Amino acid sequence: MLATLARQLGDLDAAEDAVQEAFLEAMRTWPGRGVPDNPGAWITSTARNRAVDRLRRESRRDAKEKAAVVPDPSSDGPAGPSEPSIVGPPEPEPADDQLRLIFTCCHPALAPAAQVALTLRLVCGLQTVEIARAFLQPEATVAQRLVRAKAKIRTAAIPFRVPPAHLLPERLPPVAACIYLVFTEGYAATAGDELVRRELCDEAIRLGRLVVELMPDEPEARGLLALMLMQDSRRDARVSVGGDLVLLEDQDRSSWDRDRIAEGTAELERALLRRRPGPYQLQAAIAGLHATATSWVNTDWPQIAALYAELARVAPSPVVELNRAVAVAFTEGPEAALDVVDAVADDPRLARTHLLPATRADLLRRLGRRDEAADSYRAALAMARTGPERAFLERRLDEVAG
Amino acid sequence: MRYLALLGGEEAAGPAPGTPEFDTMMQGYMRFDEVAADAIVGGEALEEAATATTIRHGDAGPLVTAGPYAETVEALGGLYVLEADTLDDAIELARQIPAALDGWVSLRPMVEWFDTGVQASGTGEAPRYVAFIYGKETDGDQPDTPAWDEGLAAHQRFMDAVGDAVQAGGALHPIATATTVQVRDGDVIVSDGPFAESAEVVGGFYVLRASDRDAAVAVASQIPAEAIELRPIMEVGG
Repeated sequence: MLATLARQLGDLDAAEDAVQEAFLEAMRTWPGRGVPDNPGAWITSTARNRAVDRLRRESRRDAKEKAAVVPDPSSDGPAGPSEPSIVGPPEPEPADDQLRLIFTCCHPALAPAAQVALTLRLVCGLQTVEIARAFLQPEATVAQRLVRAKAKIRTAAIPFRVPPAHLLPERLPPVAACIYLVFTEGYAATAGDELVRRELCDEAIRLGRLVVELMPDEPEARGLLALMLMQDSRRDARVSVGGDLVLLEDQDRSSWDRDRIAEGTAELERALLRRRPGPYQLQAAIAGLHATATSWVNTDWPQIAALYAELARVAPSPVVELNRAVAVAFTEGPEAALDVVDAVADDPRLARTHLLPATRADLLRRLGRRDEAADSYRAALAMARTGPERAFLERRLDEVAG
Repeated sequence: MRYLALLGGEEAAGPAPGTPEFDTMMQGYMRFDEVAADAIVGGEALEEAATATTIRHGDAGPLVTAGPYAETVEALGGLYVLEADTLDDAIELARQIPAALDGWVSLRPMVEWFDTGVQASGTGEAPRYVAFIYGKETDGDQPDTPAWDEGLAAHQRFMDAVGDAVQAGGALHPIATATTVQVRDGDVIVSDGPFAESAEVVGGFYVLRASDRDAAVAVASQIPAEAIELRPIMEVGG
C-alpha cells in the first residue's frame, strides 16, 4: 500500500505520513460508523486524499521543490472527496510498485547504509528501533539516516521507478546486496535471542523472486534466489527446540525443506545455463552441495573447497577465506586450515565478528590444542551477539577447559 | 531541475596541451556539448588551481592569499549547469563528461541559478572569474529557513552593490544531496556524497567580470561568505 501510494504521490515522506494519519482516522471513525466493505481501499483513498491536500497546501509555498503529484482523478467516488470512496479504479500490480520502491531505496546515489535502512523500513516495514537493533546502531543514528536519505531522494530528484532496461544490469548489484543483507539478517540475526527471524527471510525471498521476474536473463539474480532458497531450507534445523544453535554438521537433515532445495537447485541450473558465473551462483552451488549431501562427512568437500577458491578469486573477502578454511580442514587437515585462518587474522573487517576466533577455536580443538582453543572460545564469546551463539560457544568452552 | 556538475580530478594526471590525449579530451567535451545540447544552461572551464586567489574573512578583516582554498591533490577544473528532470537524467549526462573518465563529476542539486545572459568572448572583454563560496555548512544552508532568507538578503545587497560585475550565480542544496559520478573501465560508478568529504564545502558560486585581478578581489571580498576562492575562467571558444 505504501509503495502504491508513494508512486501515486511521488513523495515517500508524504506517503508514510498520510498512511499513518489514515490509520488514526480509521481508529477514530470506524467504531462509530462501522468498518467499510473494503477497508484497504478506504485507507488508501483516505491517505491519498490527505496527502494530496497537504501537498497542495505546501506546493503553494514552493511549487518547484515538490515532486509532481499524480492523483488519480477517477478515485473520487460519487459521494465526493470528503467521503472516501470505497470503489476505486483497479490498482496496478502491487509487485511493480514494490520493485519501484526497492530500486529507489537502493539507488547508488544513496550510501549503502542508507539503502539498507530504507529498504528495511519502507519495503519490509521494520520499525526504526528494529533496524537499529539488527545492526547494533543507536536508534537516533538510524532515524537520522532515514530522514537524510528521504530528503536526498526528494531534493536530488532520485526518480521513483524501476530503471530502464539498459540500466538494470548496473543497478542490480546494490539491490541484490540489500536483499541478501535482509536475508542474512533474518537467517543469522546479529542481535537478540532469536537466531532466525523468519519474516525477514520470507521477505527477502519474495523480493528475490520479483527481481528474477524482472530480469529473467540475469544469472546473478537467479543465483541470489537459489542461494537464499537453499539456505532457507535449513532454517528449521538451525535452531533446536530449546533455542540452541545447531551447527550444519549436527543438523537433522530430514528436517530440511526439500521443496526449497528443489526450487533452489532448479533456479541455479537455469542460471548456470547462461555461462556467466558470479558470486551468488558460486555461493548457491556451495549451498547446493551441502543441501544434497547425505551427511557432513559425506559432503563433497574437494568441490566445495574449489568453489570457495573460485569465490575468493572473483569476490575476495576474509569471510570467504574463513569458510574456505572449513573446507580445507577436510581436504588437507586442520593444520592447513589454520594457515588459511591465520592469513586473514589481522584483517580489520573481521575485527568485530566472532567468526574468526570461533573458527580458529574449532580447528585448535580438533588438533587437541585445548588451552589455545579455550582462549579462542573466550575471545569469540566476547564478540558473539545472539543468545544461541553464546550458549553454543560456552558449551564448547566447557568441553575444552573443563 | 538544475544540477551543478563540478568537474574535478588530479591536475597532474590530466593530459598536457599539445598531446593527442589532450585533443581526444577536447573532442570529448565538444561531443558532450553536442549531445547534451539544451540540457547545458551554463558552464565554464577554469584555469589551474595555482592561479586561484583565496579570500578569508576573519575578525581582522579579509585575508587575501594566493592559491586555492584547499591545497589538495584533487582540484576543480570546470563546471556545468545542467537541466535535467531527475538525478538519473543528470547522471546520464555527467557520465559523458570527459572529466568523469580520469577524474570525477560531482552533481549538486541547485536551489537557485541565474545568468544575466551576457555571452563571454575570448578577447577584448573584461576577464571573468568564478568565485566559489566556501564555509562550514550551518543551519543557514537549509532552504526555507529564516537563516537562509537572511543569507538571501545579504547576497541581494551584494549584487546591488556591485551591479554588472556579477554575470551569473548559483546557490546549492546542502552537501548531503551531492552525488559523485566516475567512469572506470567502461563502468559508471555512482556514489553518495561529494568526491572528498570535508567540513568546508562549496555552497554556491558567482561568475564575475572585473577589469583585472585586483578589481575582482575587491568585488569578491564583498560576497557574504566565510571564504571565497576566486578562479580565473579559461575562455574556450567564441
